[in-house]
Formats: sequence, structure tokens, C-alpha cells
Amino acid sequence: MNVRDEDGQALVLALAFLIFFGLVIGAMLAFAGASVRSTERLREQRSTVYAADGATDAAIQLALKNTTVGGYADPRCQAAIPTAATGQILLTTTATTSDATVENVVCTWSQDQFQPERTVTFTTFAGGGSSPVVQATVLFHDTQSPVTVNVLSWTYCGHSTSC
Amino acid sequence: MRRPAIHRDEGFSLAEILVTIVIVGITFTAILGGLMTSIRVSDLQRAEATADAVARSAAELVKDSIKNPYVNCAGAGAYSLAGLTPQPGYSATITSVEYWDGAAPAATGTYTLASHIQSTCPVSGDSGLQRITIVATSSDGQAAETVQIMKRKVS
Repeated sequence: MNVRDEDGQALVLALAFLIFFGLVIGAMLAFAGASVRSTERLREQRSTVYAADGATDAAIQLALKNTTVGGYADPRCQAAIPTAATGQILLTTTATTSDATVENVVCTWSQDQFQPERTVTFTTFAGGGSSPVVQATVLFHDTQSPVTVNVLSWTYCGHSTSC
Repeated sequence: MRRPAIHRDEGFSLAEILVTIVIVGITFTAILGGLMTSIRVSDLQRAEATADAVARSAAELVKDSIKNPYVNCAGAGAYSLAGLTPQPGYSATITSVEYWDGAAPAATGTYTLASHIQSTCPVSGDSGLQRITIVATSSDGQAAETVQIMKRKVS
């Protein structure tokens, strides 16, 4: 047996060591990176939901103070509940936080033109997003003075909830 | 008589040992660097996630119309975060309250709310909508999360 056959084995072992720990470090960094992305995604989601909540509240207040908003055939609203932020948008808002979240609120006018009180649905989209974030149906008691609001429903449109 | 080949019993060559030492050294440096980066990132991520949770809790507390009823022309100190119990080393503060000017929308078109939010309460009085900014920070200054909410006067 030729003992010199073992020449260079240390180098092979060192290279194997290098490759193994290279993979371990790569996996560790990938894991840390995934955590950071997950936190970032959570933050974005939180900003979107709070901004959508706020935009919807603002639209309700706007309609409360201006009794023509959401009335039958109001040109600022749409006839049917939209599935995307297209067509007429009632209100748009931009947060002054670093992410500058933009929300667009679309209103759907009252369907009954003879009903003295308005029932308006506000659907809020994040930016030009195609899926709604929040949808609220609100009854404005226009016959009362001052006008009062009754929020009939407030839905967060997640993956499992359709709006 | 033939002489045995002594070179067959020789150990590693100097070059081989040097190359191995260099490779192992580089590997250990990389491992330590990777570990330190991973620990730092993990620590920062945990701090940000905790600050985010504190900011959310504070926002919910401020939005709560029972614990924090709407205050007309409220200043930053008008809403209380007294019920908030953040993790040690974290705190939340209301940094600003801004006010909707109450301007009516045009007959057509889109109402741009940002143009109607001002830092002082309208002369005509509060219009029932405020934009409140809350900042949650860790005491070591590692993480700071900002949340902005709208508070509407419940009618």
C-alpha cells in the first residue's frame, strides 16, 4: 500500500469543512433575512389596515357633515360595490409616516331614492390595489338633527373574508 | 539490502498545513461574522416587532371611544395611554394631533384628505376628525415604530 495516497487529505477535509460551514452560515443568514422580511411585511400590513380604518372613518365623517354624499345617484359614488379601486373615488388619503400609505375610499350610493336616510357602503382600497381592505356599511339618520350615524357593518377583507 | 523508503512515513507537508490553517481560519472568521450578523439582525428584528406591538396597543387604546372619548381640539396630551402596559424598556407617546378642517367636498371629483388636515384646530371649531400620530420606541434606541390613526367623533 502506498502511504503517499493520503497526501492532500487534510486539504480535502478543510475544503469539506469550508463547504459545510458555508452552507450552515448561508442557512442562518437566510433564516435571519426571512425574519426581517416577515417583520417588514407585518409592519406594512399594520400600516395598511390602520390607514384603511382611518380613511373609512374620514369618509364617514365627510358624509356625516355633507348630507349629499352617498345620496341616490351621487356622482362622487358608484352604483354598485366595486371590486377594484377603479372609477369614481370619493376620498383619497396619504399617511405622513415614512411608508406614506395611500388609501382610496369608494362609496356606493343609497339604492332607495325615496328613503330619507342614506345607507352608504364605503369600500377602502390600499393605493391602487385590486382588493379591498375595509368595507363599512353605514346608515346616516338624516332626519335627525344633528345627523347621527349607525355603523351597520365593518368588515376587514382578508384572504378568508370576501367583501 | 534495499533501504526502506522513509518518505512514506512523513507527515503533512508545510504547504499543506499552511493552506489548511488559512482555510480553517477563513472559515472560522466567516462563521463568527455570520453568527454575529445573525444575532444582531435577530435582536433588531425582535426589538422592532415588540415596538410594533406596543404601537398597535397604544393605537387601539387611543381609538377606544370609551377609554379615550373624543376631545374637541385635543392636544397631544389630551388622550391617555395610562392603560398601556408595554414590555419593560419600551414606551409609547402621542407625538401629534392634527385636525380636519371640515371643508366640504366638491360636487364631483375626489376629496384629498391630506390637503384638509392641519396642525392647529380650525377657527370654526373641531370638525370631528383628528389624525393622531403615535411613536413607540425601545429605550436603547434600537427600534422606533410610528402609527398614524384617525379618530372620529362618535355621534
